[in-house]
Amino acid sequence: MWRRLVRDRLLWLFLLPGLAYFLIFHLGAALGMGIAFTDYWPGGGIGEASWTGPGTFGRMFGDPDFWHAVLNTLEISLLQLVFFFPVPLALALLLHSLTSTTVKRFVQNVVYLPHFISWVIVVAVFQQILGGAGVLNGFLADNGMHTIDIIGNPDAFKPLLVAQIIWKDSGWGTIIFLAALSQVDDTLYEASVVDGAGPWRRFWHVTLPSIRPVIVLLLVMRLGEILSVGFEQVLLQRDAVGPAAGEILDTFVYYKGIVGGDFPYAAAAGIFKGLVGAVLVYAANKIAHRLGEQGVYR
Amino acid sequence: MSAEISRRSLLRAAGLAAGAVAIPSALGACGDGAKSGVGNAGAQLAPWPTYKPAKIPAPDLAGNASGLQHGYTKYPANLGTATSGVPGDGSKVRAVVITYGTPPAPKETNKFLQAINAALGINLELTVIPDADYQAKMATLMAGDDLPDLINFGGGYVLPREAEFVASKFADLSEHLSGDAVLAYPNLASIPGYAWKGMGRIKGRIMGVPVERPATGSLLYVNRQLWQGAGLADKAVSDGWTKAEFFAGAKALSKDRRYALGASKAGFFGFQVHCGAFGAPNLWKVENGAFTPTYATEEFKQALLFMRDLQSAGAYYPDAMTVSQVDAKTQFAGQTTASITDGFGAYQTLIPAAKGAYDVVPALPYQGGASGAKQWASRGIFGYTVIKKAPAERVKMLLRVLDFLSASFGTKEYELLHHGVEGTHFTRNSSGAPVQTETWTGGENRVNLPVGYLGDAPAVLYYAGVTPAQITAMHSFERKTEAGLVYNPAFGLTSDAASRSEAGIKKAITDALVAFVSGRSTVSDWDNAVKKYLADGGSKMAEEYAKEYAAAN
Repeated sequence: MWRRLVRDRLLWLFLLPGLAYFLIFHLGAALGMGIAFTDYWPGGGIGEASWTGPGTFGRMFGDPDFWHAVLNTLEISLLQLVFFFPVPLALALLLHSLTSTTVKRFVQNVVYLPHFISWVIVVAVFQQILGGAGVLNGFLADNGMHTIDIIGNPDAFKPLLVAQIIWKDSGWGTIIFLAALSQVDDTLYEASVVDGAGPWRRFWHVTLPSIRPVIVLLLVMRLGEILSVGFEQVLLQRDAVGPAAGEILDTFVYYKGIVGGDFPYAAAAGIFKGLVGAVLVYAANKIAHRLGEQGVYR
Repeated sequence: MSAEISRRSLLRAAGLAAGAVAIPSALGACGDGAKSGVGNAGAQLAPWPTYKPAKIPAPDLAGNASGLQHGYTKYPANLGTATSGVPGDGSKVRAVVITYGTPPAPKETNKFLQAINAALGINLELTVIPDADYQAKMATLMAGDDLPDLINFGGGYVLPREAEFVASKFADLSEHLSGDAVLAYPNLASIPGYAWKGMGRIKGRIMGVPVERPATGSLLYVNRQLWQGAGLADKAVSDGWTKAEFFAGAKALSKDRRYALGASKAGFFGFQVHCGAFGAPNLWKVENGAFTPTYATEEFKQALLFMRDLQSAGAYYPDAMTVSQVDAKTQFAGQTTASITDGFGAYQTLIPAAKGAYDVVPALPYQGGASGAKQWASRGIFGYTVIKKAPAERVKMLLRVLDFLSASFGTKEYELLHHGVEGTHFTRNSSGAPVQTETWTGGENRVNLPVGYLGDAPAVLYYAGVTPAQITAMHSFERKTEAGLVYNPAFGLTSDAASRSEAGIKKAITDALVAFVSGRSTVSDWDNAVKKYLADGGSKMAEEYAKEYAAAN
């Protein structure tokens, strides 16, 4: 053990900054979860807080607003899983099938760009186009047609969120898939062409099996974040549709903790979120193993 | 001079979090007994500071000591001096204030800051917190133990446990300011009584220095030419509209991508104006010593129903709940909207923003109901500044700094703080009035360097860039609405329940308000939201306010 440490000392040295980051800002900060069991308030300091036990969790689990936020989060997460998750994959396949590297590079650069635009701008652009006073409705009204209510319409809110994330991040999401696609052995394609396989069969029997481990890996990791659906994106738009449609777990925690000052409650909700994520990753990984996949870890 | 978090404070925050688990368990049994309440009932009350108005130039439009401002149609010819000597001791003073501007330029290049530092005799290190981040940043600041020398709590926010925080971490200023002691700081003594009362005491003690504002609260500013088109502008200024006139006018004006009522997500469809017009109490009603929140009154509900009708008639800007107040002002300036709800002081930005293309006039409250046409009063302050606990000498030095910042209109100190340095930030026109230079309008100004939120003179009606006629119109509005001002009986009262739960339940009730006016919820949904408000802390607040009210009156 010690000898291995000495032998790999350079590698450990490289690891150190990353390790320090996780120790201080993740593990260290995670100890702050303790405030969920106290009556801590920000101005009072940790020293003055007194132990209240798990009562905060009882209060949280009995709060319909909390469950409402959880439900909204799950709904959005599910919509994202079904409608957003496959888009980068499809886009990557499309890009991969391009033969001209110039065109490919150009398209890649264009689809990456929206990722670097902040949510404030993305949301503003969507509002300028789809809002009640926006471009689309202005055009419809000018031409004597019925206007459509999208921004501020609670029923359209969740699909709108998914549409925004598809526009913003599907290009960025192709990176890992493209890397996986470039790893597929070209001789496999050549062999299947010789055997008379068309494009669809080549995709089904060569491409997909080759990148399946990556897809499963990303899917499992996504499940771990099932209760995180884009805090900033939702916070910016929640007020327009109200909490009934727009409150997610993260905004709920923000309003309880930062705005409302109920830090123990916010910490309890954070613990709940972390536990759900951990359990899901663990379970999904197990299932992946059963299905003969590598999963995230062994 | 930045709103960024330093590496050191980040590490400290992480360390703080790491200590979170170990210590509370060790302290286990200490109950709430150690933390006494913040209320004034039963406490010995420090007398309010003696009011001694400063000698100011005779106003053209006279005000009074209960919140009607003095108006000046011309700049005073001879400026006085409000202070003697340099207040500071050359030390570094760290201060935190809210801002509605962009971050100021660093002090190496910022001539406005350099001049203020020289005049105050301190090295001011100002951290500005953008309005949108105020609640989050202040919560972080409260959680850390690295407090600045001065903090202004203001901008209309009430932070959770603000009163408890102030009581435990900041200097008790009573011995310096109570009664005649304030006369050592003549400019603080010229802050009128309603401002001190609006700030209130905590546990009977005076904990801060208020930044005064006139009594008039939020009002409806209208684009005179557009409303003239609906045949209504003159009546808005002379006697106020009836409810039906207002509704018909607003509906008629809203067409061809123009909307009668501008609104933002900060103003909740301008409910303060409409609820005032319908005669709803200003946040709290006191009757026979019992307190009721305005949300639970019939007048408030009637106002919401009317706002909902306005909304479904298309009178509001359709995406009101997606725009910030800053954007709403831009829409008003661009005549996309024909009115806007804003605080009284907003005339200073709304009128110049029109660039003479149209007239901005304050609309008198319309006749909403039987007891209608009322105007909600403000708290009488923008906020209040507290001083970190320190040796008496330092507290006195910081009070002298606040005293300087509060120098009244018509003094050299006021001119420096409000107009900058002559030759750099302003020049004088033929009558001696300051005219802003490009350095000032280009960014080196009071909006971006908001020292005025640490301390300020009692506000007067005068602003470079606003004409005498417009000043007269604003003054006439203040005079006409003065009799109908509705005060919040809870302003200046302190309640433990309010300190703990108000910030949280306010979000829920405004969410319900927006849902109702937007037509997404029913009257019974609103009634349920009000019940929840009462159950989640509203009733407790009412009880405590009643006790405080009885003790104070």
